[in-house]
Amino acid sequence: MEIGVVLPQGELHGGARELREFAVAVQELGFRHLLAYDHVLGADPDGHPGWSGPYDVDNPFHEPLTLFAFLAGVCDLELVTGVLVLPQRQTALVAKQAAEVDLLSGGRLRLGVGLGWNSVEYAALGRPMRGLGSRLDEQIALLRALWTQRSVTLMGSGEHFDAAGLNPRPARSIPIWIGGTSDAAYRRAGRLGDGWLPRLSPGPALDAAKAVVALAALSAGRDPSAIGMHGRIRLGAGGFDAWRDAGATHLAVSTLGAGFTSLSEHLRALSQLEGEIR
Amino acid sequence: MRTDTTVEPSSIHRRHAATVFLTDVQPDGSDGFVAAAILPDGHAYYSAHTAPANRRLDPMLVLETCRQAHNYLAHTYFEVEADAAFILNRFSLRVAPDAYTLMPAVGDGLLRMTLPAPTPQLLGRRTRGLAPSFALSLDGTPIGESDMTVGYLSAAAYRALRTRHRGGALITSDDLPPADRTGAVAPAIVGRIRDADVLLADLAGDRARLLVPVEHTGLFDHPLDHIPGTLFIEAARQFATALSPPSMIMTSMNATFHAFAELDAPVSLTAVTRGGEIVVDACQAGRAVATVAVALLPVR
Repeated sequence: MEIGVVLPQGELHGGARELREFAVAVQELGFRHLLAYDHVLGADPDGHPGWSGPYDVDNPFHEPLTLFAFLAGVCDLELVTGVLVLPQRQTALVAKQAAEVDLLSGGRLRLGVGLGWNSVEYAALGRPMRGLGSRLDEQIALLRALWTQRSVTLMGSGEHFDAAGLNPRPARSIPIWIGGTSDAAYRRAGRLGDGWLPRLSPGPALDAAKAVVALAALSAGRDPSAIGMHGRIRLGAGGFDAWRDAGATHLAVSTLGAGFTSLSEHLRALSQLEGEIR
Repeated sequence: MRTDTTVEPSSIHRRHAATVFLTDVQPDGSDGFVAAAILPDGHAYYSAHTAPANRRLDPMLVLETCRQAHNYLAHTYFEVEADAAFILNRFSLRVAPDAYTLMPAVGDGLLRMTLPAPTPQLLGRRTRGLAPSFALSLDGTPIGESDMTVGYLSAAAYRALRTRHRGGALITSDDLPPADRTGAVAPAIVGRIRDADVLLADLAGDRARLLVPVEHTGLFDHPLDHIPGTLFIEAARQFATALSPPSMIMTSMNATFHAFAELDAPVSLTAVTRGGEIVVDACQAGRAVATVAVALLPVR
């Protein structure tokens, strides 16, 4: 099980210097990947009475693929979106940007994708917040086609590819991992995903979700054991062994929300996990 | 290659020009490097010995020049960041007992260090460790070898690990008062001339207490948050000198550093004789922090 770190963006305030220091130090402490969340926009609660989303306009988020293009040059960690809200984006642009990051990083991008939840964001990006599941399926197929084929002709989701292609293309089909918390998401992971990112803790609910993934994989003629599982854990919560026992291939440790106000505090807390990661 | 003036102190983590001896490190044109250092004709710290041979050429000065060559090499040729922390894991030296006779009768000596290009220990693309082996010569005559193993950490990772290891905020040598010299042994017993250079106290047979003189610019050229490895090596030499007949000088030394030693907690030293060497173990809070094996021979 490869252990990495959730980038505590929003709690690092030193700009590019601090992002670089964090990435380098995390690698030196023995972690293997950085996982970044994604939001293009935050809603202003003043304009949305009763707003109850977990984030709003005052929570900073770096654009993950732009961030990864920077981090690719300063560290050697695997770079994981966890997750990129794909249906609110133009597929060709995501394919292009992801290809760039994968090329610039020497094949270190793993693209976690999901539906998101923020209707304000969807509206502002001009994408309808309906039919998201089928659009995501089509987008995944499109991404893979664009990364592996010189010329693509596909119609769907209001995007029309008429004999068009990316250049340069990545040296591989970038792994696509599926996020989400519904059975539909788990079925998608089994059917289409190179892996999945459950937002569950080890236990009966995770076991049930794994069963849905496995059944969907078998139904699609795929080997369930070839589908990776990337868990997430809060610092101090323990549970590393439980994730190992559950068959996780990757685990990201989050230091967010622990009350840390500086880079040093995040790193000192992560350094305590030395025994878990070596 | 420059041999007439020493390098910029900051290029080798030094603050005081009086503690800089390295003049240059250059690729040797094949697959290695060559370095040079000025060995001063008289130095406030490195020449303050009772043994005339040590006054002419202190093996600890030779060791220091190798350390400086390594620092320069790492930054200049292996792209180790300027603010990276250097972690000394092992350090050894072998010097011919008559090496001091090669020092010029008057004026400075010039030490040459040649080394094959060390294979860097990499983490991703970054050099995170080097283990250079120096062949040493003085006035064209080989006098010995030195090997060291050093690891590097980014400043941020180093701070995190050191703070965790210490279990609290770091302090530096600048934060501490001068060492309390109560119980310090007489300088002559450990082969030194000045009280300030003595590193042993409460010497009783095979046991002693380490003195950590944070005010000593030869040992603490710049603020440090731990006891430097070279201080343990000098203490081991002093211990071995105290346990040996007069007029013996250090001809070999092998040091291994197990853990960071805090500046503000006592360190006990224990010496045993083993296979012709005196092996000094340093312990702090019940934990082994350094082991230094020293061999002394009579001056020829």
